[in-house]
Amino acid sequence: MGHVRLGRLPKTSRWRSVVGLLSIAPGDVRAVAEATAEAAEMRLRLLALDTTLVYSFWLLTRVTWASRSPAFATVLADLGLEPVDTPSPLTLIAQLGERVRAWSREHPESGPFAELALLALRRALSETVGQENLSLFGSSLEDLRRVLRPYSTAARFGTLAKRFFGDLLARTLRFFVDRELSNRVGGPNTLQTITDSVKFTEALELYARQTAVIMEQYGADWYSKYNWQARGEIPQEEARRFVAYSLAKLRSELRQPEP
Amino acid sequence: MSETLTRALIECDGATAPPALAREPWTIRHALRAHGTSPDLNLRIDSLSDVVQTIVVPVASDLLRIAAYTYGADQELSRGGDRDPTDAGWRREIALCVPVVALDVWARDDVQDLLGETLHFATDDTWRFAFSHGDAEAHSLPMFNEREQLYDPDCVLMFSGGADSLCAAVRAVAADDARPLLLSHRSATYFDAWQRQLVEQLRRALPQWRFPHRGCWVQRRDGEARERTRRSRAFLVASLGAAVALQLELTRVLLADNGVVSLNVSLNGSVAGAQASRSTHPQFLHLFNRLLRAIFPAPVRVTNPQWAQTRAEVLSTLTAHHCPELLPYTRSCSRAHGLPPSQPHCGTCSQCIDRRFGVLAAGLEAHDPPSGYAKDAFREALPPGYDRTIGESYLRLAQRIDETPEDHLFEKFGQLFDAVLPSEEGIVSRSHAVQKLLKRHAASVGQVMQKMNAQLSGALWAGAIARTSLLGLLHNHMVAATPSSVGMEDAAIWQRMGSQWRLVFRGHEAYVQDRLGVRYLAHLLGAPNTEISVLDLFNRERGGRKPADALSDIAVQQAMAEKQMRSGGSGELDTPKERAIRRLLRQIDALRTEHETALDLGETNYASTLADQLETLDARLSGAYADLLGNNRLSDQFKRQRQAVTKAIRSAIRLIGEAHPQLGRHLHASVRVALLCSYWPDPPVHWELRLSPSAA
Repeated sequence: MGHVRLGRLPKTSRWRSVVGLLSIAPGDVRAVAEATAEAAEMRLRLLALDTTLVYSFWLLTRVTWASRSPAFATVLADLGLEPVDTPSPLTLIAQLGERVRAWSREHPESGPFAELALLALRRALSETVGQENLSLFGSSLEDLRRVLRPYSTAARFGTLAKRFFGDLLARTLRFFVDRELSNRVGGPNTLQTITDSVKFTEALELYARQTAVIMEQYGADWYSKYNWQARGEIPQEEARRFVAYSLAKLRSELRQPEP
Repeated sequence: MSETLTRALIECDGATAPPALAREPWTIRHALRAHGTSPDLNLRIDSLSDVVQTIVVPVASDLLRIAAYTYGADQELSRGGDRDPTDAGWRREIALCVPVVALDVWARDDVQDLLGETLHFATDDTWRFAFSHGDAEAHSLPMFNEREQLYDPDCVLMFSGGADSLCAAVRAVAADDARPLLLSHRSATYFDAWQRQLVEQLRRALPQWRFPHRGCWVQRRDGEARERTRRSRAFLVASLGAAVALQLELTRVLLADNGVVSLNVSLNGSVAGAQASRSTHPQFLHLFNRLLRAIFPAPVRVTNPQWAQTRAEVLSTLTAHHCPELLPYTRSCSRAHGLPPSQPHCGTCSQCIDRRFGVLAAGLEAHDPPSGYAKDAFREALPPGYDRTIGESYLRLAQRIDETPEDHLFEKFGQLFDAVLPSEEGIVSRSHAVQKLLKRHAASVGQVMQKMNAQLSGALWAGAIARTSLLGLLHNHMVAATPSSVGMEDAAIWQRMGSQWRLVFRGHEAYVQDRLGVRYLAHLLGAPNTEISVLDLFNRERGGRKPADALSDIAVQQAMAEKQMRSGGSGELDTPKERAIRRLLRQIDALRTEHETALDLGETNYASTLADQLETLDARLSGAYADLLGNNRLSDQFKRQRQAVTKAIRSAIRLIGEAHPQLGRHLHASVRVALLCSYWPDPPVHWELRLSPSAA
């Protein structure tokens, strides 16, 4: 393990409320997620204006649509993804990350959330590759095109949007919660052991993904409407609107009481 | 443009920013000098005293000076500290103005782009450069050119004095018949002294090579650095090796770190990007080598010979070549300054934790015993904060890797894609090697925990293992719990003491600040198994109300009492009318959030439409409340007060949980907060309430 820079949570009452929940009821991941979203509300609102996040999501729409073209590699090259000697899902997902990083270099105001957006893009695609029983390593670009092609329809694109925002939400919650979680493991805390903290982390991630289920229909409706209008070339401005309202929906969803 | 973004213009060695650059809205403008009467940086390369230093190849000298100024600027500009949970100041935009001798090389767009890309990956910052013509005399760095007196080395090995660089030196000489020149970045005399001592021992252990050792001083001259993360150091160290290699007409630079450190997968979810250092990350070295190919007239390549090995596998080099006695002379600790020579490791920083696991896995504990560490993390308590987070996160990450199937590691740990390097050969085999490396590391951590568990089982049984030590975090139920106060095991006290409350429960006491929620709780604890309306609680703690309000409250309570009778006294919100209210609340919340977003996006027309919809829904909500209570006049007041009381109680329980987790858990499980609030302890708890404020 190399050098690691760790942050802390401030001692404001909203953040102390998150800390208290981690001590007394970490099993209630819904409450932890809600309290975290409330304490980080301003940052989450700003995230809606984050250009690197928008760019990451926009790339997802373009790569998906590119799978409709038999000249998949050429369309990808137009997006700035240079042809490589042995293209595969692995290389494409790695290259997409490089594109996002190049973008974020021009937009430093994104801060660490640029990295979370990049990782959400990778997760949405690598999970899709896995779900479709395709190997990241041994498959060709044509295999990937075949797998992504159904996701260029409205209904299936909603699934991709759900995966993207589910992972983004999980990472965002952990970005804050993990500043304190270790301090709430062992001793008199509810989380007694490392196994407990691993379970909590996985439960929080699962809850975030379940919260993002609302994105499936919303993403499908949006894609159906705007992709048709734009003939597959959704402009970044439209992606920006979608990302902003998606995040608003997720924040609201986190605040809802248990049905 | 973010208000917290640091944008710094740094003019180096007397360079002046071009007018267009200078006109940009910089938040900081600063000058850095390594020459002249009052330099900010000490930049000097060691030489033999009797050898005249020569001017290094211009582009290599330029590279080293650029790297030194980058390092200097990095330390000048704060990233905002660790108290902002959003890390808004982490990334910075920095423009460096530097005079260079080989201006024709550095002025090229492709070179500047590669330079920026390489530094961005290492630091997360956005770097821009304005190069100007530098004078060959004034802006060059003299360097040794004494290949013969260095015993004719065939490669440069960057030597930090840590265990990994030692093992790289041992392997290079003993296994690969190489002749490395050891080269160190020197930043403090303390580190310099033990690096020299280690080299002396190395020469004795492996007499077949003389191990020539040189260093380069790059350090701030005065005062504490404003920023201590120093992520640009990776670029400085790589540049130093490359510049010296070019000067000595060598082509290989070895920059060694075990593969797990090299990848440095984020320890936990709060660490993003370069917050986990990338000093020898495959992507960083790939970008750096591309830069070298673009600027150097001869091929020089920086590689990490240990990229596919775990720490334990690297350390086994010492055993394989019969020199484990060198291990005690190495230093890994990032907080070593000020520690006694007999105990040179703190034992709790990320490097120390990783070193101990590696040493134990490699079976080398006889050469690196716990007594060499200020704290034995396996048995002593890790205090909350940095130490606990490092220890707990290290184990948690290893366990998560261990539980993840090998072919799902890239999906779960997306940072691994950065090690793929699509434009290079052998992608698939390298990716598989990365997966296997992580799995071996996780398995090794598990084996060490089992080993320590067996070794310390007697201490565990005797209660001599702290509950928040690494071993305690593995099985907390076996280790001893020490009550914070004696004689309080059965007491349950809720006592007001001035502006604080003293809370005693199950043998532990805690103090919390006075707040409304704590006082509401006092009322509930004083009347267990009794339902109290939120309005009653509200009125008990809010004095000086107008008589009209009091009448309203009574009316609301009467309405509530009737409601209770109708619903069988459950206190639960589950009638059709109440479900309708919840649906409306949900719609209003979603619409309100969307309205905020529309305003954030500047979509005023849409925001106005949403505002109209909100107004309509709000009116429907008031109507629904009135319908529920049978009284229009009370509904608004009821809405406000119910929200205030429930929020205060929930917030108080969480804050109590922070100070006294057991009590927090108890309250969370036994206090019900709804239209009617109540406390249902199981088993019963007799609270001694002392509610009148007394001095602490």
